Amino acid sequence: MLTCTDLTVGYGSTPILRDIDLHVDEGEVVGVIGKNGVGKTTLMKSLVGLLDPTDGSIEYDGTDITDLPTDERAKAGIGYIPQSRDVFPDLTVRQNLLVGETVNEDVEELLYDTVYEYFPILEERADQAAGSMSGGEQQMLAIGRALVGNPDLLLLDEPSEGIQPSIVQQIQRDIPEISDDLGMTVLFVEQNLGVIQAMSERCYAIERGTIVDELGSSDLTDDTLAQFLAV
Amino acid sequence: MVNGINLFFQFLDSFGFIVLAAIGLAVIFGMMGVINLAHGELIMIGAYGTTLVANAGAPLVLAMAAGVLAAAVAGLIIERTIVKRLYHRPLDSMVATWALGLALTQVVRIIFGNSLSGIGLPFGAIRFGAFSYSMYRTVLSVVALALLVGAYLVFTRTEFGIRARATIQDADTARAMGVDTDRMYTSTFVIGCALAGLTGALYAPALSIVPGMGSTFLVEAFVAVVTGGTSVLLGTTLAAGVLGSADALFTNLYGTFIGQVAMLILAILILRFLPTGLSGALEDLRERIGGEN
Amino acid sequence: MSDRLVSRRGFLSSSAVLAGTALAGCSGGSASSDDTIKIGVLEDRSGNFALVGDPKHKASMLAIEEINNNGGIDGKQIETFSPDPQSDNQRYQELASRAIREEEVDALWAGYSSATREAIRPTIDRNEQLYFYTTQYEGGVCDKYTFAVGPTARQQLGIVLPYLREEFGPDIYTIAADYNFGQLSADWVKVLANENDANVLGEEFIPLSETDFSSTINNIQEADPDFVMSMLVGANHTSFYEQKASAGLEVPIGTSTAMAQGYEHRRIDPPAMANIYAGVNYMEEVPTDSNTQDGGFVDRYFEKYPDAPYLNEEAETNYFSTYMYKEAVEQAGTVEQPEVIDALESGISLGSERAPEAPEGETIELDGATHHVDHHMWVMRADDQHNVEAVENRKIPEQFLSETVGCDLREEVETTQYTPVDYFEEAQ
Repeated sequence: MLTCTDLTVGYGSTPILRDIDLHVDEGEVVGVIGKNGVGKTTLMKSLVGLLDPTDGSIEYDGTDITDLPTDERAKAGIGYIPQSRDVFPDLTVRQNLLVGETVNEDVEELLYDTVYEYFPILEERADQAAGSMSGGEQQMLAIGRALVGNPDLLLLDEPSEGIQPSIVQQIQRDIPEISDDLGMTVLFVEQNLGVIQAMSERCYAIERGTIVDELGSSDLTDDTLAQFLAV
Repeated sequence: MVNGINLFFQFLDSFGFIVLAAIGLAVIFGMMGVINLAHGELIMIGAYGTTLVANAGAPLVLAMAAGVLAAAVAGLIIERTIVKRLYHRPLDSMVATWALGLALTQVVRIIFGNSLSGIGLPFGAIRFGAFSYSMYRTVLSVVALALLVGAYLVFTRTEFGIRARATIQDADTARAMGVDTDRMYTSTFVIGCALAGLTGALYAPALSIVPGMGSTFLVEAFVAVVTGGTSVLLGTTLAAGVLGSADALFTNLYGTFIGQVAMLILAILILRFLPTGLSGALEDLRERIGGEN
Repeated sequence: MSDRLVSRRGFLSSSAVLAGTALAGCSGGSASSDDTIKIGVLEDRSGNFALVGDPKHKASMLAIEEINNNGGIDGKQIETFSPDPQSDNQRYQELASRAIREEEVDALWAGYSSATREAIRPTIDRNEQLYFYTTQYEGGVCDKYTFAVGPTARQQLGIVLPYLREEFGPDIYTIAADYNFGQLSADWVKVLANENDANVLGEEFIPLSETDFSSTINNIQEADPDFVMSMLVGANHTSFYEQKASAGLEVPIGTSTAMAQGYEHRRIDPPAMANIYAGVNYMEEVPTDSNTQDGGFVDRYFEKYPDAPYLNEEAETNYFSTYMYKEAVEQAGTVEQPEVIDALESGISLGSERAPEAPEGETIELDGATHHVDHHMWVMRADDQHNVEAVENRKIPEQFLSETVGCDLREEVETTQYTPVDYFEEAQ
């Protein structure tokens, strides 16, 4: 589904990411874990095309998308949930979801039913300005906005960051379920141990801009994970 | 002497003029943050297009459509060649569009000379008692209101408008949602230019058609956009209402000169005491009332 | 152009040794070579006043071409220095200085508006430069070095106001542009109203930037005058005529500014200018032989400029004043400016026996004492098809400086502008 080969991203002579080799199969839920500042968000941004790699390549669904513009990657089926949500604050909830539809202008059915089933609040608050919602609600909206266009690959950037525990619980339960229901592939980055354990089928650990380990589901113990996360 | 009906028509006239002067600028500035100093020249292009086509024998409505089209095409060329490279560089884009405005004025002067023969005002007069008003100028204020409503609907109800606003608020995220942000910028700029062209087209029968005619609109346009504040369409409406009232009242009482002075003094007071502009102040007020409930 | 400048500079440097003393003093002297005369023509071909300034420039060039083709002035060809001041007073100041100090022109024509004239007059006076101001204006400039040869407000209003008073009645409403020309013209309306048993019901001054006249139209309707006197100026104010027609205001309007300068009757759709009466010394339609006959002024102008839109009032003034200068130089036998001014002050007359130099009437006389011209004045009326016909004409001398103020520049060197406020109670 998604393969990165020798991916290097950075400014000038100081790369933030070096020689990333990473692979996600269709239907998998894969985590990328690491502490703050190791390059997790940079990885996500280069996968969506908001940052250009200085070296290496990204292959998605059998084609090389390294030079594909961001909006065309989205239309090819890559859904993105940015760090700190980045909902459009002055648009209403409904309008935010409408922007999410853009990827799917004429391809497949929209997933409003699924979105409202998992996040009923988005239907109840349809006319509220997104900027006036709580962080957790905004996160649900950001997920809904990415889901509604029926993506094949969902990229989540730290879904638990700055959000009340009850909603974190809900998200870490819902995402794998949605992936199962729809056969959706998920790649997420995270440093919350609970979320990683709940969601990952396997994960890559990053330290100082490069992948240092790959952990299978049986390796996701508190102790193993702690060495990559805690200070 | 203040006479209610006179004052009302006076207000309609000022309101219409301010809205039409400002709307194209408001869309481009409010949606894209580009201060388009060639705004007046786009109005001029709309007026020239209209006048040339009308003088060639076409019906006025068709001629006005041609004027709007001319300004839209000019806008497209300007965006693709110049403005596109200057997004997020407000000072550079000001200098570039200012220079462009000077060049456009001079090019039009070289091609068409120092003036075009005008087209007469249609419709005739509205009479009451000893007084009468130009029907056409009254119709313009209705058109201005319709344009505001139309622009509001486009930017709040259509997919295009919502994507355009998403692009303005967060271009990266909008792009990651599949929005072709370059096209959004181009379209918004062209719409702003087309609106400026429409202003020129509508005022073509009422003004002298000379290359520098765009400057007639600049003061009102910039004052309205600046005092209107953060929310552009609401701001333009409020600014036109408030400034138009001041202009109408003082013009009626003390003549056109004092009318202009009153309008500009009011604009200064608004900027001094309402730093977020009229629309910002209204939103603050709404929140405060909402908070007490 | 550049070739000429280079050769001129070459001439200057080579003759500097011989003529060092003549060149050292700057102003009154002339630096032209023996066989040419240099004239500065600063008229707007772009900017706000281009519409009215461009015909002035063209008419000067026509006169100069005619004179050069007929052997020049005393056998000397005329050269010109004529950059475009772009309706910008600061540029006028720079270019006037350059014309005087670097180009060392023998005579200078410059400027459309009174504001421009007042911006450059200090430079003119300081350098004692012979200067022709050719626009119709408010009047009152008594200046040793300035020849204000266009008609004054008193002359223009003096033909049209009495005519309208006689035709329509005594009640007048005045609308005027809000700057010195408009304010002073409005004062003249009051003076002339008093002299002709008329009353000014109200007056209104309108900023040059204004394009909305609905309140003005209302005020006129409320005052209900027998006629309106309009001294509106510039492209923005033209909207008044379209708006008053659209609003159905049908009162007769007398004017010293509309039609003759900006040819509104050609530019805007009929019948907006119907029943407008212009008090003018000249417009293209003035029915004199020297103007309209085959090969007359109009024919010659449009032969040289087939695409020109209109031949306006000030164009004629530029034209005849160039001939006036020719007469003066020939009379003086030199281009030295003090001598030429003396010749002009002796009184120059252009007339039918010397046609084509006086397109506006039989004769034009320069009054040596005041540096103003006794013009042949016309009342020109536009009908609802915008055809223009003459309804009245007579010779009107300059009166304010000669009779009221007592300006005599032959006796006393002055550089003053007098205003009616100081001499007429009703103007206060």
